[in-house]
Amino acid sequence: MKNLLYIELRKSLKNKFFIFSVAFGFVISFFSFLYNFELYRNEMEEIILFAAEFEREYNPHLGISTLYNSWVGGEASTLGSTVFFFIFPLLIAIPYGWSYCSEMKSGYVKNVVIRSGRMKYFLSKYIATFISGGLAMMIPLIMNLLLTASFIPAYKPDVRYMQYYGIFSNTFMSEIFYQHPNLYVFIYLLIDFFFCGLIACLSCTAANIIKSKVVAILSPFGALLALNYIADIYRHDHNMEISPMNFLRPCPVSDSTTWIVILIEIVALILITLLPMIIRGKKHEIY
Amino acid sequence: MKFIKLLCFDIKNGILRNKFLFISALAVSISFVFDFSVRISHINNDWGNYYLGDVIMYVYGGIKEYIPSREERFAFPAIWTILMITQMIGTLNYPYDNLNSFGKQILIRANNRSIWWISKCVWNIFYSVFYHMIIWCVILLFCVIFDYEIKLDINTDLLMRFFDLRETDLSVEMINIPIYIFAVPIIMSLAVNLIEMTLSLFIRNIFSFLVMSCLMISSAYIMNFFMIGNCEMLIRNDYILKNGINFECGAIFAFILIILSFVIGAVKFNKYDIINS
Repeated sequence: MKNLLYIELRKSLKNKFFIFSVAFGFVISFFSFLYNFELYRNEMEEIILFAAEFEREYNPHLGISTLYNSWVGGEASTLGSTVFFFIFPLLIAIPYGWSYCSEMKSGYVKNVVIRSGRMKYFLSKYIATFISGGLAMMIPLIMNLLLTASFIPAYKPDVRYMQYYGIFSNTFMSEIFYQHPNLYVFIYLLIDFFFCGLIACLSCTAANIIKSKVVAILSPFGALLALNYIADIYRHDHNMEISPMNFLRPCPVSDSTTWIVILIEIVALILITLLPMIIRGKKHEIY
Repeated sequence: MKFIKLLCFDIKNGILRNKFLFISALAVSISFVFDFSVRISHINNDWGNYYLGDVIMYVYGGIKEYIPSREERFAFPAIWTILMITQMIGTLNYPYDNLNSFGKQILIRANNRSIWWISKCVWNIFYSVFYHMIIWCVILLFCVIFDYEIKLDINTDLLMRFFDLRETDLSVEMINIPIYIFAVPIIMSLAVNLIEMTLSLFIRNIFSFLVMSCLMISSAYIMNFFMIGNCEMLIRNDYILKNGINFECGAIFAFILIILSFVIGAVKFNKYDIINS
């Protein structure tokens, strides 16, 4: 299992599609950084002018622009952030979502299964897809966070400017955001990693049914778009966010989510993605 | 003769036998009209008559102009996005699969690459028209069942409620919307599909889909004539919105894009390495 997992991980992380996904994600998120940096500079210039005019040494409005509402995950108003959180289901499936489908088609799977066993192969494939999907989302986010932190200071969010952060008293994890913003970002990165890993594995589930690589890669995107539409209808009666396309953003777009929604969706995703692989690992006749 | 045979084959296999086209168009349109009826049921009956135009506007409307600010967050239009993305997915795979299977044989036997490309372009046009025709038929059927007036008029109150508009946002020309304006989104979506197909000759088809998806979501974010998705959103029409997009120019722009993508694709395909595609 160890050797097979190592081979699968190497294949999933050392391929040009993984590099493309990370690079594309970073470039898209870079547009968000450019806009926010310009905004921050303009605000700073105004503050310096204000300070000079009124001979004040300290401006209490500094908290309006902080790292936590200027990095790509902390804001939902720039084009970069909008595009990034719209296309992420594609970016996480591109690195390795095609692999399972491709190996089934080419017959490679038969050669590996003879040498290592069915269950080991399917589980290794699942873990590799999970990790590559999670990392394809997390690396651009971390890179953007670090880049933004290099230029915009990480002032602790001030609850008086909550409209600038978009995180209100009833928002998911709002207490943590205002008390320990770094912990908030860390928890969100973990949620994103875990979710995106599972969402990327949807392409493996799709590959069990459909034999096209392109359709396998597109299936997580299609599933999330459909869920987003259902969430849009659901939102009219309940003020709760159930669409991962929205709640995976650390800054909520409309309504807030809850831990229960997150846990239910994680369990559902595990069932949808892991169960077929386990069943295949036990019963499936690869010939 | 060869071209007609090839086109008939493409229409038969890429449209008439294409389950995805029928299932996606039906599923999308039925869920949209169902959603519309649910939303209408929550509304006061004093708002006057509802028309076929209202349902079409609900499905093809898109989103009003977004003005970026830290306080207001951007949420993409779910209905419009699904409508366009589903169609883009539908036209993504068939030419590629065809080329990777017996398409190569056809190209060798026909001894003419252009007819293959023209056939695929015509197939693409037929696909888009069929897709929207199914949606329009479902909408029409829905209006007949629910006794809505079969007119392309628009209930202003409904429009303002669904798209979060104020009376001051609306154009004074709203009462005189020409019927052909409702066809512009279809012509533009046709252009989008052709661009996607042409782009897939230069980059892998999944990347061309990625690029076009970025373009479509950027169009929802930026209200600009050259962001081609704008002309696919009926709400951004200058007959409806003050300072909206001119759809007459949009139709001309769509035709230019169609011709450009056809010509660029034809030139590229004549030199395309079909063995390693």
